[in-house]
Amino acid sequence: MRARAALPAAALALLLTAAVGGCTSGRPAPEQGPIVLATGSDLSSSGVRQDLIHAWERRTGRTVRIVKLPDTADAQRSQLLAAGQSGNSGYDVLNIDVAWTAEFAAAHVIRPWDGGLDGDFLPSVVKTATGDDGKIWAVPFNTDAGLLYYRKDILKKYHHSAEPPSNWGELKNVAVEVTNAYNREAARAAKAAGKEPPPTLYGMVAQLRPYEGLTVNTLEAAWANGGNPDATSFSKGEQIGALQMGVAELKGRLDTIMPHEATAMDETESRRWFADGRALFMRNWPVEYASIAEKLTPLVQFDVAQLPARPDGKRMSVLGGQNLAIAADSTHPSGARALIEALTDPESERCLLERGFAATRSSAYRTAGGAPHCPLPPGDAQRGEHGAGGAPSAPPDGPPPYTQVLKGALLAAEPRPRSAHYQTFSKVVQIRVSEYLDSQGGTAIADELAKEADQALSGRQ
Amino acid sequence: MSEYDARGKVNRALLICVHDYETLTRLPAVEDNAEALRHALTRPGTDLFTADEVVVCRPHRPEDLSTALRTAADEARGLLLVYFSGHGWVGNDGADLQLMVGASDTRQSHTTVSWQDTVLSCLDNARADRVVIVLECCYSGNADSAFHALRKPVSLLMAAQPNRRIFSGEEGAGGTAFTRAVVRILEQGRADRPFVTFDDLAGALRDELADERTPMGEAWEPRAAKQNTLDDVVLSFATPEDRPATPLKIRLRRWSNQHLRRRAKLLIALAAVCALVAAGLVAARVLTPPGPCPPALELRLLTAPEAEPALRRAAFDYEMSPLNTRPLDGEQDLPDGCRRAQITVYSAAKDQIDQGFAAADRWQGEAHGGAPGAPARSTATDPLYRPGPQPDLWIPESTADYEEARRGMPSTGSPATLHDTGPVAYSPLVVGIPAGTQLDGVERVDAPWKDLLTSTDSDRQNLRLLRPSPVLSGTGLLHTLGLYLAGDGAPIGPSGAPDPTRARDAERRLAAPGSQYAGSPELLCSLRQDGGPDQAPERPGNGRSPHSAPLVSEKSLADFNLGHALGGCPALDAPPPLGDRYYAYYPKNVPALDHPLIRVDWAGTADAAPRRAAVARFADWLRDPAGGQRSLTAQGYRGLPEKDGSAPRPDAASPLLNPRADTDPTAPVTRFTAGPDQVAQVLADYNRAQRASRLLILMDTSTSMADGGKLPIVVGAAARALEMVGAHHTYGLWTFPDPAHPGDPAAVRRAVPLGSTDPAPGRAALDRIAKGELVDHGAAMEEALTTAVTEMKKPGEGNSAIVLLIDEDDGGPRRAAGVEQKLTTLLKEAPEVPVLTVVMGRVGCDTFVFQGLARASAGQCVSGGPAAPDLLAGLVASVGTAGTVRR
Repeated sequence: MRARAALPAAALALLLTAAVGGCTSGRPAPEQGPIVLATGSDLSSSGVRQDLIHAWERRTGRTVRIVKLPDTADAQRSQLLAAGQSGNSGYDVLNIDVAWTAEFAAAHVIRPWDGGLDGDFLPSVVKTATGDDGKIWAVPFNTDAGLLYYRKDILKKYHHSAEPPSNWGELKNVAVEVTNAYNREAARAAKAAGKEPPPTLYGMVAQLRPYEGLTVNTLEAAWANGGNPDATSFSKGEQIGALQMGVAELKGRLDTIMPHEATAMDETESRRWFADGRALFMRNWPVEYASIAEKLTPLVQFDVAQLPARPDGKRMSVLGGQNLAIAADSTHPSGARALIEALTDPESERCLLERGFAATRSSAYRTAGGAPHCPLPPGDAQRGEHGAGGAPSAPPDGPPPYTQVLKGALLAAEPRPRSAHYQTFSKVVQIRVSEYLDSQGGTAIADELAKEADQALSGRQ
Repeated sequence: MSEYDARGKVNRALLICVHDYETLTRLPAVEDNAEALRHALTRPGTDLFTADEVVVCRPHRPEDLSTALRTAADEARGLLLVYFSGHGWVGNDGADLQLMVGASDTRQSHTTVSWQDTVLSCLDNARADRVVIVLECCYSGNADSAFHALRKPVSLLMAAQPNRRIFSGEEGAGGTAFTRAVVRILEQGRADRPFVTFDDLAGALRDELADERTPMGEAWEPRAAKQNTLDDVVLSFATPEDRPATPLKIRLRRWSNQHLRRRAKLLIALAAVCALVAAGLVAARVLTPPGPCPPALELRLLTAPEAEPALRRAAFDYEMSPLNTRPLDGEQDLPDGCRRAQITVYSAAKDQIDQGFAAADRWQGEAHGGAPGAPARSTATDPLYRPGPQPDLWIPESTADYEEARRGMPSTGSPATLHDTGPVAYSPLVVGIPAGTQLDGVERVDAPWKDLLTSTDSDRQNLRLLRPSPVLSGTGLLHTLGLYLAGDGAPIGPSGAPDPTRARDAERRLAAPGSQYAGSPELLCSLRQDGGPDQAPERPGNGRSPHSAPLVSEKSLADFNLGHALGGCPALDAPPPLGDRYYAYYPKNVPALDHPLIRVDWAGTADAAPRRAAVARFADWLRDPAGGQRSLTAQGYRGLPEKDGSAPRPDAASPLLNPRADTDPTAPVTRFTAGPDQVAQVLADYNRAQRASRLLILMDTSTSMADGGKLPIVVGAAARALEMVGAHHTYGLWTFPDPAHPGDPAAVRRAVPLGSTDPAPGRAALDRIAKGELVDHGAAMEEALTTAVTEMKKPGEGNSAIVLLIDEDDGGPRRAAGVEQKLTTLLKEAPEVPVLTVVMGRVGCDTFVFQGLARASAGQCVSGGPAAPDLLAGLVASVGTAGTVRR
């Protein structure tokens, strides 16, 4: 019954939208009812993004209903896409992972964003909101770039320099040298004190469990080996070999400087190892900074840097983050647009940066005086949000200490392949690469992997 | 490793041999290298280059070399082989290798050829698939460093190690020692090899030159390096064995390469186009490249955590299979070859799935604010959050799960309709008995449950039976059903009712705190020996293999014994030793997990027809012996019966055939025959066999909980514990510190009084906490816990337990003397009140305090993390079972 009732309503809404588009005079009838925002991350209970929504509700008198999606990104995507394809989602605004924009656009479950994005948005981030067709389909809400976390104190003591390694080869060498020295000394000290030796210090941890994190780490390794982030194929021209070499390098790192458990690690688990003092280096997102800062002293015991460079000096990370888009079957498109504009305006982006998110606008990163002012009351700054870092380590009214490193990383970061079939590509990478990482010998999977990756991206067999 | 085979492609071999030098020592031996190599490369036995593909170059000026190189690089499409034999020279620092041509003078750099600036930059623009370079010159080993800047896939063979000169070229006529060895290897092939690859050549050269020395008197070692490729490249198809004939396809391509010049090729292509155009629309269609593929139809596949990895793999195999490109009924037309469906596999605990289907209107109508008349948001579950997306298909572990879910759904008005399409894979239920333990007189296959219970009891082997919770896990439910209905080993009849005494007896054996787990992965993961000593405290039960006997499925036990990944436990390098494994015992006539595929139709779906068709096709593929059955049996499941009803024997790829799986692939698969009423009866008996329970959730709500994403996890864990409460299992929710009594560390805020049966007020309180209702005081854990334990020790009905959710104990510095002592004494007093702690703070469970708490109270400690809610749920589910027998 409900569904039948919903159909005429949707048709009516469509008529209304058409009327809005077709008329130049007269005002459209105001939209009724709350704006429905479907979101995965914990936007529903507390935190700065929730505060920004409340502030908008207070300002406009409209209400926003949040539909809380599952914790895992795969499940969020699945529900948003399938419900959109079935045409009965009832959602107005979708908070989507940047990697899904092209697919959602091609599947017509979101609407193009008319009018484009202003020049304040970081250029690398704008790419994530752009579809296969070059059109803008969403507005970047918060972004992210992978960073190299490193134990400053241990490097200083055993490597005589607190500087992080500048390229991946050096990272491996430093990791071997430092962890050997550290573990030897720890074992000796424990023996002298008659205690059990502390847990082994490993060279590095990263996200190698077969999930999206493995795809991210694989792409970064392929790019570090000369891969071109804009290429649409892994088996043509200069791309040949980049994926192959990247994957071989990942396995090399796993077999020499990483614990075997890394093949079961995600962001949280790798962060726990690093924060527990069991790894010298870690590749992770800035959102983990605050949790680590609870256990290790920032800038003294640990610090962050951009990822190590490839031979030509480029340091490239995969861009993470979320975009906001208007659902194709939204019945409140004007309200949805107004909400998205407010959540991504310069002031809101500054609030996001101050509360531990990576902002998508350049202006947010300006130093104190020149930056837009975050209008949220300072009391809210006390509350962290799952998915945001920085809160405890940030000065009360300023951005977190890693801000400039992050900005550098964001400017050099690149989106994952922008394809309507990205998800299948990612599954191929996860399945094949994790088989390879778990294998004992050095069987090269790469030609096969490159072929299957191309097949996945084409949408064909 | 794959080998690149260039036969039939447009290949080039550029043989650069310089013997006649104006200012440098002449190299007479090099003069003959070119011919010897040309002969070796073009002879029929080598079968790689045709005669016109090999070019000899004897450069006098640098331009001679670079022109020849550019031409070869432009022309080659398959393999480009560049061979240099002559003098080499480096600067004082060993960098910038220079190749010397006839007119080269070491003092004049413009007369030499720079390896890096000329050769490599030219090769970087080559159009060949693969480039192989052989450098036979002094300092050739120094070529390695600059070479890594190349962007093409290149293999480089260097005649010697870095910074070495070589004796070569002055041997007199007849070719150099190095090239003679190369020619020999290429012409003769290698024993037991069908061809000679780049790696073979490098290896064989090292052997051949093992006795040679450099002018410095050291060993002469040719070196090999690769850039942008891990593949090997075939350099000769010569072999001492019988060589297979060159395939016709390759011979034809060679013929066309040689005989059809570019213009002729163009003419033929034009003629072909004309012919096709003339052939009309059909041909035009063939010539049009197919359009881009739109995203495939997204299908949501819900299953149990145990089956998720195997089904994810199977779904991926299906997505990439040709079957998935055929049009579906009701689907709009797509370009040829496009994938039609994509499948996302996700899982949830059984009780949450049941709740989801029971509230299907909320599941579907979340965006509309829930069904009319539904309770307010804060008091109801969020099905989209957990179990997750609205499934298009659901594969529970057994038909019992399906029956139970259906029983919980309203008889009319639900927007979801479930259609059982039958099983897709089986796995018999087993009891894992430690491999070192002998059960006297009990067969491993087909022993009745009652004999297994007797032989493992405290008078005999004294094994602790561990079971996934029947509430949270399908394996747990079906094991319980088997215990109750097939305890005597007789087949389960359609109308047989469980014997309440047997239920009671069985539950008595399974009664111990922490004897239940959220699912088999958690259970088996906790048993895996090498979880690391520091992991052990957070694993509920801490069951160690010699004393535990897990009730799981054959597939899960095989995964454990073979060292496969299990839940949060990563795969081991090798199967654990026998002493750490379990033998599978198959209780007689206990039904196997049958994994029925349930199609879920949602009302009001615009694409219902193609969605149904897509599910049906995937279901057919899953049951196809050449399709999904192969994928599922390769992961340890039993296949569907043959057409004649006989059970198929696991095929060769099945891990069950691995002797170290310690399973018995001949053990029979018992079909599920129980009716819906019997499932309901079993659950009712299970609930009756449990004691009533009282749960006190004691939660730290100090402001530090808000940091670093701890609050959502801790609220999620408390909410998960609330899902276990009901009329028989009451609860209370207390928080500390108490804002009303800031000076009293022992004060607690009673947000929901003890003895409550409705979870709604608890959820509302948690919602307020999640929204930031925190207290800006330190949390004095021991004082607050003392208050809670004092209350729970008062006599009451049934079992009691405390769930303590804590960030960190902040009370230490101001703590009065004797508080800790008092608490410990109190905890040890009867009746037992286990404290189940979830620690969010930096120390986790690894401290004396939390380990001591767990010990003194017979409780458990779980470190906060994404898995904490489900681990806690398993512990809370065991509260009612604990103490069904007085201990």
